[in-house]
Amino acid sequence: MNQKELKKLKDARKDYDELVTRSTAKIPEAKPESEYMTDSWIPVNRLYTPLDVEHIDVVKDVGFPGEYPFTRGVFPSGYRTRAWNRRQVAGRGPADECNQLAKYLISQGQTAFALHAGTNADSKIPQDTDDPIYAGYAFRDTTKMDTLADYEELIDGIDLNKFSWMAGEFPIDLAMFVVAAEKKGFDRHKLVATTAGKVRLISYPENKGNPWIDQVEYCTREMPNFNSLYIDVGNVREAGTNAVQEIAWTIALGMDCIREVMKRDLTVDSFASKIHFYHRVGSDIMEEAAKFRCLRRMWSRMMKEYFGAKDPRSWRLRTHAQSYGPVFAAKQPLNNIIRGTVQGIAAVLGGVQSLAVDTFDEPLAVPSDFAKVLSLRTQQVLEHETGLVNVVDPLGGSYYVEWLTDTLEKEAQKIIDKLEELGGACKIPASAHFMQLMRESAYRYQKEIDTKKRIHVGVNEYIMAEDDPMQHYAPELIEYDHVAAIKKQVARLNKVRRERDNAAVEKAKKELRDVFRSRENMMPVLIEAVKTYISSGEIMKLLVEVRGKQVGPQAEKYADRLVSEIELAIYDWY
Amino acid sequence: MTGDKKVRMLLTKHPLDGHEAGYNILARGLREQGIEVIIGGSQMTNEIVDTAIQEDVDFIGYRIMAGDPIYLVEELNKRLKQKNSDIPVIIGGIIRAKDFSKLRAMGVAQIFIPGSLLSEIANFMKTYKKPVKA
Repeated sequence: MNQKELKKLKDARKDYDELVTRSTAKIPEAKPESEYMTDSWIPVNRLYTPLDVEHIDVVKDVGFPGEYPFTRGVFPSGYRTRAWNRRQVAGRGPADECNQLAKYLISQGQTAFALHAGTNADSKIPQDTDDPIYAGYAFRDTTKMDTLADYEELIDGIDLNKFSWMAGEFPIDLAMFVVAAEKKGFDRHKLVATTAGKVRLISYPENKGNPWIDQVEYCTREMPNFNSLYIDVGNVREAGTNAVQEIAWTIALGMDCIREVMKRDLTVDSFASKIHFYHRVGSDIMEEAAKFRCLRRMWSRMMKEYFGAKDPRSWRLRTHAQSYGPVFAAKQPLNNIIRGTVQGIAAVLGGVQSLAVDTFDEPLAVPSDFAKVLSLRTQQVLEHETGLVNVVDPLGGSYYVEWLTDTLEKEAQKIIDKLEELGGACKIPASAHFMQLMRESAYRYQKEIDTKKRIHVGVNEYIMAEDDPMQHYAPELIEYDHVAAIKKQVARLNKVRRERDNAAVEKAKKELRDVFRSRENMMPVLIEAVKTYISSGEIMKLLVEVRGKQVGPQAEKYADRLVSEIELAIYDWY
Repeated sequence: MTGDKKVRMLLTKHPLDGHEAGYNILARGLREQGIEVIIGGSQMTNEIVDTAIQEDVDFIGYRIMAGDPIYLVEELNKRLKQKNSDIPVIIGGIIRAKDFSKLRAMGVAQIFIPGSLLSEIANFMKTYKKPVKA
């Protein structure tokens, strides 16, 4: 814009402002000007014009899809080449039931898996199903894995070359998955899959012998197609952080994890393209779309400028987004279908690579097949009936969205700087600081609901009588017999224990003890050990026996700063 | 529950319930509403009862997400009975509407599902009167 055009625009803008003043004097706006904010409390103006984005360099900051800094997407032609992966969350009962569920979802058009199947199944560490902790456990959308036999059944009859699979949270899960896949004829070195194992650096502060860093190192050297470094921010968002904090945590956590992995003599380019992410997507459509744009820009700049990555694939942030469950309400549950749809739109506008839309019955019960398919259909409607896939980054160039992308970046950077100043995201002082921010944000949100400053439809406004047909209506809720499921799983585990070669198990135990003690990379030994059908609980007991409880030394030092046990538990989350 | 004495509650949950956002909001929100909240954290049913008795609380607030409410409340009742305690139990979390009446028949004082307001929960405790035994 030249000076003359700029003046013209500024004059026109002045006229508009006067018009607004006159018009709102007659009919006031619904709330005071200062109360118009995004979901993460960024104050927004009534209108955005080119004047708000003058400082943004269209080539350098926004650029083109498939090109650095990837603000407009990681692939040159966006969803035209390939739509996002439809990766609904699924898990149920023992492995055979989960396998049936997976096959059913494939038949309905699911393209990738985030199976809630793992050796820990909601517990912080793997424990066998006959542990008392599992009494009364309802297997809500989760499948409990104990031994290799479970993994063999879980993946039975599924083409792992075609469906992107997600193994569990622990390196034990990866070992079992790899062995099961090989038994089914897949080549370990070519296997394309992802791990849900976020690198835990608080409870396992030492680099040497850290099971998750072992996992990343092993995959980088042996299984180059495997997405081995998992940056889990979705769970942190769900715990109450807002979009700005979600961006900040992605970058800060990523930075700390990458620094740790590089200590294993790995160059950043050897594993950076296999880093994958998990985010949540809320209902503020513009903010969420801007969030993904901002995430890509910040990540690529960090990778290139801070870490010096040379391979363009190392600069790309590819993410999976899941709709934001905490706003799904138990009252008038069908409203959740609308929430899932809105959040799906936001994710697609943000250009994510993979999506899960939560089921409407999630706050009520174990999600039913009916609800799972409805979520899948939501995604399919978005892909085929809305035109959202036609144009890459359709919001790019919107004065508001570009301004918001930029503003989110500035706000997130402040948090990142603070976390770095405190030693890095995975150190206790920084974590404690971030947890405080998270708590404040979660609490502020709930307070606004309680005081009706924020309207949650059907929850604090448009409330129905308890006997209104819509208040609790949900079709086909699942009647799940958890007692039978636990019994079945324990019986399976006992059968495996009876039939396996226990001399081989004892030999494996000795080798595991040795590697836990020596702190060499445990993956090769784990992979050999699980072949004996040793259970995950047995392996974890050995780890604790050799190294002591890991919730540990670092945390205890700061015990005086911790309000309660819960604070400790949270450190284990990411 | 009248007079100046603050209502004391034990806020507790099953060890397998990891998603803690709601739990933390409750702890702080109820405190601000004038309830004295004892944080139990992740506890098995026997630990819940021991803590509740030691802390002499007026209520046990049991958050249940992944667990089966009927099974867990039955267990909790058993433990309470063993210790001759009649501390009222409030449960919250993912509870099916069809289980409400059964849980009430088991003696649960109140049930709160997602979307309940902090003030609702606090007011319930402040105005609660123990049922008179027949």
